[in-house]
Amino acid sequence: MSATFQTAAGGAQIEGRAATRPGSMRELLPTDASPVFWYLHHPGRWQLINGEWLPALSEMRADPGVNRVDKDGNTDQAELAYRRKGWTIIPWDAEPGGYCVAYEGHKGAVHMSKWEKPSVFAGQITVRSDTAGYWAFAKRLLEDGTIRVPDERWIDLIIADQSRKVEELRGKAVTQPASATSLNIEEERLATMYAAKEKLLNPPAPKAKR
Amino acid sequence: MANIDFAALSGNARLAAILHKTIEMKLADRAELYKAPQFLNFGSLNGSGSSALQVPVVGLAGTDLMAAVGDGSSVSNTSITSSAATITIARQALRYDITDLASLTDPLASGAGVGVEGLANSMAIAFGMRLTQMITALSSGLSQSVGSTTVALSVSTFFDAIYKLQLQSNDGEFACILAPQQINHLINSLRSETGPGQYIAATQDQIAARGQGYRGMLFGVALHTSSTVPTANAGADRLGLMVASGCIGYATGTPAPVQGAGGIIIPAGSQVVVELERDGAAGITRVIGNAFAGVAEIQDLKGVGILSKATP
Repeated sequence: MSATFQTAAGGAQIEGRAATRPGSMRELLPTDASPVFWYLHHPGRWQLINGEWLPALSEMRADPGVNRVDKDGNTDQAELAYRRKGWTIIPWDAEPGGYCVAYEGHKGAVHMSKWEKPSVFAGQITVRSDTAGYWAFAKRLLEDGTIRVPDERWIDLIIADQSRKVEELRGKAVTQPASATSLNIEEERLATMYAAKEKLLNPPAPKAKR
Repeated sequence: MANIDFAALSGNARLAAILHKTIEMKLADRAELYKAPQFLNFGSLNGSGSSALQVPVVGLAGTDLMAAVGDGSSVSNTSITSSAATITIARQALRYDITDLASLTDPLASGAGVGVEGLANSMAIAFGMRLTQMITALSSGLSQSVGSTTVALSVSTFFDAIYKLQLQSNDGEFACILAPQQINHLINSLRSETGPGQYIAATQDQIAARGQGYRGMLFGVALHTSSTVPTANAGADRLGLMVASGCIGYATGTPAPVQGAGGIIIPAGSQVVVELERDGAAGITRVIGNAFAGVAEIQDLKGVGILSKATP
């Protein structure tokens, strides 16, 4: 069988491409591997963020052997146990593109939230947190109904803890200047908690359109 | 005549550097906290017929109180309150491959260096640290929590945690496991405390008895530190935990050694089985540690998460 070798008149067109590092020189996160996770929410867990009550999220990791996650990382039984105790499991697609992100690490995949930005400087890992983005996500979960508005008794429990803290500081502030400074901060926080509760449970009516 | 100086001998009769006869351990957290008495050891599932252990939580002995009943009246039937926690064990493993040349040139005898023995000896603590990591991961699943995001841990928040446990009638010695940054914040807050609040730092004897990571007693709570305490709120915080005895339990399993399968080492007092697998053609020895472990929250109201900022 014959073959024809052709060369364009102007010479062969050979394209270049950006060089890639050898596999053994890949940039990997110098930290332990961590399994995928889902955010969870318990109806009693709330945080006061910028004058608003927002759900404080927990994590359920598909970590074999931890809280009913089976040998293969199956979370069915773990999910069932959480749901029976009143927790809400937040699906990945609650955030466009998913909120659980995988990075390559020295010891396997490292899973973090999309609001954690890891980088490596001088061999050490640092993680920058986009807390504004994270709390915006938590707020969206409340607004779109993924997480229900809390019963006011849950918020009252948190406010009661704060009230006790303020009372303790009032007692100390007479003799301790440091406590007097803290008292101002905690009193303001308590007032914000009450205002945020009012805003959460009795939101202002939307303005009527003309 | 030229002097016999070092340069003349270097590389021939003198070495550029020699290895010391001991090694320095690389800085790492080696605090195996699972042995703290607050974490219940439900034993081994070997030969049990299942990889899951159900722990009954039953309301006996004082959970139900007697009530006054009128003379001649019939007392109504009371059903027992019960629930159950399930611990599912799963395989935990670590493997090192070492070549014969690397192993035979190990200058340290008796398993203290980087040789087959030294790697095998590392497996027990590797398992202990993994079990500790599994236990601290449970802080995220506790329904009770104290502290605020991006706020440093204070004595006041520490007390909040004690109050939460006491409100639920927990008793006995509480244990608190905090991330190193949380401990720093707590000690900083303690500096401005006055009155009879007591922090009793751990002595050498106590550390020997309770293990590395034990920091002492604070207001009657056994204080431990662990770098395995998880982050929370997109890495902005750490979520430690304070527990009473019975909040968390664990179970284990140990692979049965197989005769004729190669060398097997079982480190003393450990659930780990270390197997030595030979690849004679390549001159490589694989040192493989295997164990089975599972942890679970047994009673939710016996624990409280402690949230505080992760940065200084």
